[in-house]
Amino acid sequence: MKQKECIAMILAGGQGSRLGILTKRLAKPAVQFGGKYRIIDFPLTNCAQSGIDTVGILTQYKPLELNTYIGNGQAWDLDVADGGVYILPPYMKETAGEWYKGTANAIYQNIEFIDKFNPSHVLVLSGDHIYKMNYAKMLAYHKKQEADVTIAMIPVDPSEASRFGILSCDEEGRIVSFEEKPKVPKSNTASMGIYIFRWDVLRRELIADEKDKSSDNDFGKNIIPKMLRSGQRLYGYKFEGYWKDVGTVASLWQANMDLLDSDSLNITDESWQILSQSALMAPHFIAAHAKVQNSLITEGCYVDGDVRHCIIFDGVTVGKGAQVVDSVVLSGAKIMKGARVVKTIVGENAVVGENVSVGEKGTDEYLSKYCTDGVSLIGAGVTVNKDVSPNSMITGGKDDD
Amino acid sequence: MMIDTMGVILTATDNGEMGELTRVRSVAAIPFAGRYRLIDFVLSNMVNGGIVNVGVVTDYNYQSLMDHLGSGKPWGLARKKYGLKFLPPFDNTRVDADERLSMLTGILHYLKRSPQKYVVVADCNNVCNMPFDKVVEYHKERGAELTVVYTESNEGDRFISVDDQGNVIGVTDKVKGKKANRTVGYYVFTKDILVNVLERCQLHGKKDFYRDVLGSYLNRSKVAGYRFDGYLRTIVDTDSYYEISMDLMDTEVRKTLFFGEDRILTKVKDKCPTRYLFNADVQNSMIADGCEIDGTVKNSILFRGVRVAKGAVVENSIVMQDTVISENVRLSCCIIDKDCVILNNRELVGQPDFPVVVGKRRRI
Repeated sequence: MKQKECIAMILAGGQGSRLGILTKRLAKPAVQFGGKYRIIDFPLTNCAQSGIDTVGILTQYKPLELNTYIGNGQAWDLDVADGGVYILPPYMKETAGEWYKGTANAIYQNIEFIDKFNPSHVLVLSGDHIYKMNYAKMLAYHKKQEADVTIAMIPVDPSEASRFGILSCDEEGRIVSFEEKPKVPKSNTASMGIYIFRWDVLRRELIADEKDKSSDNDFGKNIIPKMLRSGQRLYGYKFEGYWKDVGTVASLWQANMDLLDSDSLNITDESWQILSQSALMAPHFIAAHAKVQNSLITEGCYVDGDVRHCIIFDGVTVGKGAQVVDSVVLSGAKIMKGARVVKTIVGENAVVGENVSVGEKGTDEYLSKYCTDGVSLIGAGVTVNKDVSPNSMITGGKDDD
Repeated sequence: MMIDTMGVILTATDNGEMGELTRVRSVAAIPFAGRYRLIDFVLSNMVNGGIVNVGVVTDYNYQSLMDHLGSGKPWGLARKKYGLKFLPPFDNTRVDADERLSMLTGILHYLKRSPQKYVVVADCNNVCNMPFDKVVEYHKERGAELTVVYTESNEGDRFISVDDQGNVIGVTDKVKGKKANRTVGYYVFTKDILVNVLERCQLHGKKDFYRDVLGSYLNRSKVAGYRFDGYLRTIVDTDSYYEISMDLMDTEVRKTLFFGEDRILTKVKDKCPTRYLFNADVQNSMIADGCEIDGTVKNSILFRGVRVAKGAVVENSIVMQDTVISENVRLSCCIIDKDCVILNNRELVGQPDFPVVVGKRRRI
C-alpha cells in the first residue's frame, strides 16, 4: 500500500463517569452537543477538514451507539477507497485477549493496523474534546521542527491546571519540562492530549513501554515523560481558540450555553463546517403561541411555548404555554403543556409532564453529586411527573444508579 | 427491497407556467418545504417502496438537478448494482411526440436492458408520501398490464372513470367545480408490454402519451385504477406552488408528509441549527436549519441559511436558501428565490392569489 503521510487514532473508549446518566448507555464521545452534534463530530470534522482520510477510532466502553453513529464514515467524507474510518475495539489474540489498559496500550494493541497504512506520522487524539483545529498546520510545524513528537498546548485557568499535563518550552518551542496532573503546577500551559508522533519513534516507544511492567501504559504518565528524559525531540504547538473538555454535567451545560453567549466556537462558519450524521427531518415549526429568543433550534421540532436561551435538538416538542429557559433539550424530548424547565439538560426522548416544574422550586428528592452549579439532568427516556429542584439528576427505574 | 420493479422519473413536466422558479432549473429541482426539492417526493416514494433501480429522465436545465441528486447517496442509490441513472436526451428521443412519450421512447434501450419485470413511471411534481410498493402489489394482485394512480380532486385536467371493480373504463372530461378521479402522473406498467406499445407508437408515428399509449391499453387490456386517499397535490404553476407551500402550515399535512413511517429523503447540507436572536418574533412558520433570525416572521417558510435582520417583517412568504432580508424590510405574500438580497427598508407586497416572485440571485 502507498505510504500515508499521517493517519489519526482517536481514543474514544472513556466512560466519562462524571457525566452521570448521560453516559449510562453510551461513551462520552457519543454525547450530544450543540443542537445537532455529538462530541466526536469535532475531532472527526477536524480530520476531514485537515485532509486526514484514515482514522482509527478506539472504542471500549459501551460502543454500540458510537459505532452506529459513525457507520461507514460517510458523514465526514471518510468512506474512501484507500483509507476511511475504522472502529477498533480490543480483540482476542492467539494466547489471550485483554482490554485496553491505558491510552498507550490501546495504540500498542493496534500496531498492526497502523503498520498496514505505513504512515510517516501518527496523530493521537482524544474523542471527547470540543474544538476546531487544523491538524495540517500542526503537522507542518511538527515536520519543520523535525520533532519526534509534537504536543498541542493551550493556556488553562490556573485553578484548573492540576487536572492537566503541564508543560513548558524554550524559545524554540522545544519542551523542557512535562508533568502529568501536578499537585503544584509550574505554569498554566496544558497539554491538550493531541500528539503527532513519528511512527517509527512511537512504535519503538510503545513496544518498550509494554515491556515495562511498572508502567500504566499512558501517554501523559509514561510515554511522554520517558521520551523527555531520554533526550528526544519534543515540541509544543501553541493552539489558540476554543477548546473544552466537558467532564461534568455543569461543564457540558456551560459549553452548550457558550454557543449562545460568545462567538468563541463559531459553528456557523461555513469554511469549517461541523460535519455530522443528520437526523434528516423536516424543518422545525414554530407555532401560533410560541415565543423563541436567543436560542438554537434544529430540524423536526414543534415549538408552541416560550423558549429562551436554549439549545433545542432535533424532533423536540415544546407544548403550548410551556416555558423552557437556560436549558439543553436533547433529541426527541417532549416538554408538555404548561411545564416549566429551567437550567436543565433534558435527556433524549425524556418527557416533562404537563405543568411540572423542573429546576426551580421543586422537591429535593433527586439532588446529585454530578449536577452542580444549579444544573439539573433528566435521563434519557424518563418521564417526569413531579417537580424537580436544581442540582438534581432524574434517572429511570430502580436499577439505575 | 423490491428487486422486480424499476422506477422511471420523468422530470420535464413543465407546462411553461412556473415562470421565474424554472428559469434556472427544471421543475424537478424546484425547492420546496424548506429543505427539499420536488423530485425528493417521488424519489423517496420509490426508495421507500424498495425500488433500487431508478432512472431520472432529464430534458433541459438539468444542472441543478444533477447537483442535487449527485450519486444518489442520500437516497441509498449509490449502489454497485442498479442505483440512480441519469438519462439525458438520446438520439432516438422523438422531437415530434409530446414530452412524456418522447422521453419514454428515448429510454427504450434502458428499459429493455433492465431485467425488472415492472416499471413505475412517475412525474416529478407531486407533493405526497406514497411508498410505491403498495401500488406495485396492487398491480400484481389485479394481474393488470397497467395501473393508473388517481385521487379524488377538483383540480387538474386528466380524469378517468373507474368501475365498481376498480377497472379504468375510460377517460372523462372535467365537470367544473365537481370532484372527479384525477390521474396524478404515477403509473405501474408491466415492462415488456410497455416496450411493445412504445415501439408500436414509434413505428406508426403516434404522438400523444394519453391518447396513444394509455388509449391503446384501455382498448385492449385490463387497466387497474389505484385510488390514493392521502394528501396529494400537484404543483403546476406559481400560484399552486404558493398555495401548496402554505398547506404546510397545517400540522396534519406536515405529519402525513414528513413524520410518518417513511421519511422524505433529501441531500444533507450539515447547516448548523437555526439561531434565534434577541429581537426574534416568529409564529406559524416552518424554519430550516442554518437561519439567523432577528426580525419578525409570520406564516412563512424559511429555507436553509436565510437571514432576517432586525426590524424586518416577513409575512405569508416563502424565502429560499441563503437569501438575506435586511433591516426594516417588509415582505408580504412573496416567493423569494435563492441567494437574493433584499436591501434595507424595501417593501414587497403581493396577494395570496398573486404572490410576488423574485428570481434567483436578485438584489432588490
